[in-house]
Amino acid sequence: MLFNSINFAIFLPIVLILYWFATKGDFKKQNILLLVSSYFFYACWDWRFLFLLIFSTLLDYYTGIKISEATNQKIKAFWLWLSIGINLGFLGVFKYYNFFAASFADGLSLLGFKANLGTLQIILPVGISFYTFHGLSYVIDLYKNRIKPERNFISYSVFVSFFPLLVAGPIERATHLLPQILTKRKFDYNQTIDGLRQMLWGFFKKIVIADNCAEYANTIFGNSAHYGGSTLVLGALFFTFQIYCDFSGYSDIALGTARLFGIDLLRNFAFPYFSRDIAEFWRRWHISLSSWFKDYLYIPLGGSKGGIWMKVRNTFIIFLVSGFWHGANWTFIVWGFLNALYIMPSIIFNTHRNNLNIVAQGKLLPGIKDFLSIVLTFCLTVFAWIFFRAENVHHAFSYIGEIFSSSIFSFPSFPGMASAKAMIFLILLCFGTEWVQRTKQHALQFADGSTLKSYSIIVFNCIIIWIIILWGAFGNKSFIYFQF
Amino acid sequence: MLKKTILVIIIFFVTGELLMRLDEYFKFFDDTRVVKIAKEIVITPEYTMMNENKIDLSGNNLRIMVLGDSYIAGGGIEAKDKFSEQLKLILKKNNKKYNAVYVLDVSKPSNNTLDNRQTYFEFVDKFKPQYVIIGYNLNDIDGNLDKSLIKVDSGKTAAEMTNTYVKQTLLQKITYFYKQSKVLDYVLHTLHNEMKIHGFIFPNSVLDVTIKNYVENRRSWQQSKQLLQEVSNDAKAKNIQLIMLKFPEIYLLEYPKIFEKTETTIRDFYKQLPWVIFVNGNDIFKGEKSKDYILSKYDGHPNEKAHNKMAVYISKYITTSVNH
Repeated sequence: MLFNSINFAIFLPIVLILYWFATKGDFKKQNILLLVSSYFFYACWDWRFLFLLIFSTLLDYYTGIKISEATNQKIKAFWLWLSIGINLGFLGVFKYYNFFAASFADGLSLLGFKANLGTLQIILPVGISFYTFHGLSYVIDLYKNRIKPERNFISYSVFVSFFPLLVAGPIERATHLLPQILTKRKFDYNQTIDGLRQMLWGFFKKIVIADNCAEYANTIFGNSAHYGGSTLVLGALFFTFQIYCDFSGYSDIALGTARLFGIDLLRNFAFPYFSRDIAEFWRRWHISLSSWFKDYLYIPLGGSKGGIWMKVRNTFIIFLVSGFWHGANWTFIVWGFLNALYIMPSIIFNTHRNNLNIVAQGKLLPGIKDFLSIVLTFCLTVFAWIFFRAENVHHAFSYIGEIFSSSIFSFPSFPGMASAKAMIFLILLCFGTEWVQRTKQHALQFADGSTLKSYSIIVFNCIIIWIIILWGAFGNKSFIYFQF
Repeated sequence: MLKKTILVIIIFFVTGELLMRLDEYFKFFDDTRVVKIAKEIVITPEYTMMNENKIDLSGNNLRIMVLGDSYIAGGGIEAKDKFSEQLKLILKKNNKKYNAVYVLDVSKPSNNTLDNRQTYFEFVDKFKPQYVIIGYNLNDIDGNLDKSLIKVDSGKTAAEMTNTYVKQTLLQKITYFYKQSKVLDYVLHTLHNEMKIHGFIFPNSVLDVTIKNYVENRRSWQQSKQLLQEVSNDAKAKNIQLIMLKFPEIYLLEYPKIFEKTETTIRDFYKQLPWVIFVNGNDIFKGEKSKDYILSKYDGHPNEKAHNKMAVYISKYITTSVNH
């Protein structure tokens, strides 16, 4: 079930009404309802993979208890590695088997051997990367004695499969979400209104910006051989806006939906395109994944304790794994590698924590230095997204090759150019609003104020709703990150 | 609370109204909402060759002329995928008899029966086709339609609307205001489309009135028949095989019953003209699903796949008769 579907528009109010009225505030009943509705939500996509989700939940629940009951370190480690092995095994089979099989065969053919390993017709279960990482963080935290095991299977299952975050995150931590699941939730009017506004902004970004930009980006990337450099730059820009608005739009809808249930999820995006360097970008983009890799991979690898070379090595590992996490394609690995290269100067010169504050805080516009830093960081990001979007590495290189040709000076032209001009206005509206609201948790978060202010907010919200109705690209278009 | 709710609802509609009127004035987003279709005949190589008298008009070549509106002209799809182009490809592939195959596509978006008749007589002697294919749509009767009967979606007839403002009662004023509203018009239009694709036709909507016009005693259908007969008789006299391809309502393939009476009326008419090959599009798409053959949810034009299906079907008639 997609957030941007009629099914969800019917499903959500029903679950909400039952949640707040039929359970009489009993959080145990609420948890049962959340679990049933989450499984229903997931089964709407493909009920067969529900068994995989339940198995994964059972595995981590059971190994979690075993880890906590283990009397010595060896047994503890056994259960931990069993859980990690099986979880990553599933991920490997469903997500990476074909990639490894094809790459191995290609490698052998380069050496002059012929290999036919055969690829499998595997459907990637939606959200497998996300719920696997949920489970892994839980068992690792138990192993490290950061948390206590959850013995109530229903509560633990809700932690893994709470429907707003089930298919594309944010990747939650047991330390953050489980305590909320285990306590009574109270209906809070202001929290609900804020949640609805966050959902509205998410829908705007997804349906108006991302799905419209997708049309242009797909046209240009799909026929890149026929277009000049300037059009290809436009295609890369459209994809840059598409991927941000698609994924952060999803996260906004997920966070807003969770708030309607009285649950706060981890923030996933903090206006990343206003970053002044790549390190800041990665503190603001897909925050839950970046922090997951930091806590469960970078730090266990030694982090920055072992000197500069250790830091460089670990950073490369993190970015390559992050690229690979996104999908079984060399394009993602190159994208990860490129980002590692981008961040390297700040790692080496220890400037990666220079921009921890919000850009131009308390001012309407940034200073020249900040502005140029934002533009440079944005350009680097756009360049990297070309690899992320391209069909394969060869396609990416030919795309970039055309950009750096004389055709860059021609006027951009492609079918749909006329309507694309209108999109620029909508993109400006989106990022203008986000710029003004960059100190907030989301773009439609407003504090209470005067009557005039509250009616201005209502007018602005109405404009957003009408823009979605009038210029949204409807048609149940899936979210990019569902494939990851 | 109630006061605030009403105020919010008013703000909501006023905002929408303003946005739509601003857009209408500046035509800023016009292209994102409306698929624009060329209104002229597309100049094809055949068209140019005909005008330059470069087509051999003898019996050594196969010449087919295609007439109709945007449905057959390929509105919304690429030129290479439209009916006439696909038909040409198939016939060229299967051709054993002729030196060359020419398909002259003189279809034009918005054409109705009267336009098709004019186009036929404009080109028939210049091109001397052996076959003429007319893509016929239910709304081709539109040129002769008694428009005073049509009510705008769930509203009043044009005549009633003209009188509305004169009466000045409060209810009439409200009705007038609602008629002027761009937002309500858009919402009702969208709602109507949504209902239509689920097989529900609003009473007195354009489609409803169109269907109702296909009865023997209606002037519009009588005029249409007269025009169609003129073309048919001329084709017969000139030994041209006329193929009447009646399009189904592609977005309503699952609801053939809506058009049962209309189909019978049209079929009965062609029974009186046995020299015309009448092809009912519903037979081509029998058992198929609309979503596989329409351009988009709200645009019932046939897509590439539908054009191909029709081209394959019609080519069989032509190939069989040619090879005989």
